[in-house]
Amino acid sequence: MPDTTTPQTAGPLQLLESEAAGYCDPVTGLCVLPAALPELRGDPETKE
Amino acid sequence: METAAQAPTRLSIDVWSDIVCPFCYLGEHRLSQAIARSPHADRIDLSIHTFQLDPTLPASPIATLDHLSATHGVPAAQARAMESGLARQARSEGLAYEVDRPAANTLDMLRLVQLGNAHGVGWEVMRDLQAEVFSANPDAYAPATLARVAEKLGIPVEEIREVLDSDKYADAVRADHEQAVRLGARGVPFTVLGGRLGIPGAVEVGQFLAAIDQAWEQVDA
Repeated sequence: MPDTTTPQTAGPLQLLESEAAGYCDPVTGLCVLPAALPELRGDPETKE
Repeated sequence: METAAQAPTRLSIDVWSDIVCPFCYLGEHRLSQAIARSPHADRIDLSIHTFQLDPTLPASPIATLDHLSATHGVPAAQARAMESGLARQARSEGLAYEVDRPAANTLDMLRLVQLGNAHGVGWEVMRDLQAEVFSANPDAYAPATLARVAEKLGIPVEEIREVLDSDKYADAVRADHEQAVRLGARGVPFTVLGGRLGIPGAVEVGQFLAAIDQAWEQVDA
């Protein structure tokens, strides 16, 4: 058995999302602010 | 004798991170500040969990910027600009952050964090190893560095050696990762408060503090 603690959750999590919350994405390998994603994707049409 | 009814209310905060993750490094720092400012600080149980961002990273260190360009297709100038922005942000918050730093596979480091958890110092192992990486210690990933960091935190040398000489805790690293995905994490850092509130990413100190207050109201209800 892994020697680790398992957090107990009371059902689905309520996610507090923020455009100002930078994170690292294991799929793209990039660490970005969500607000900067359209520019990084080179997708000017998503800009207002 | 203390009964369950008399036990003081406590709030669990669980954080998933990787060593090489800049926003984890920043987010943990901000969360620590938020906890320190919280009136509930002495009744918060903080736990670190591991999340290996890139298992394809080689065992031998390479330049982080080269890795971003070669593996993830980010033009060199853009990679440096992104990293420079992160460096400015980290330094403004009092953290050492070198753009030109080594990157390597973090599995051994994360297994050591798991060993740290078994000794109640997993958070400290994560933070101290991140400090080695983000200050650009060229030997940050060397077994001797890992052993030095862990030993300084009071982990017995023979247990450190046993972990570094084997794949012990690799299953715990995988289990942590799978649990984060099950909880809805699409990246790291990922923070769960009271088993109810999830925070993707490194939010500001004030947002962590507000989330602690919100979670506290729920556990104390």
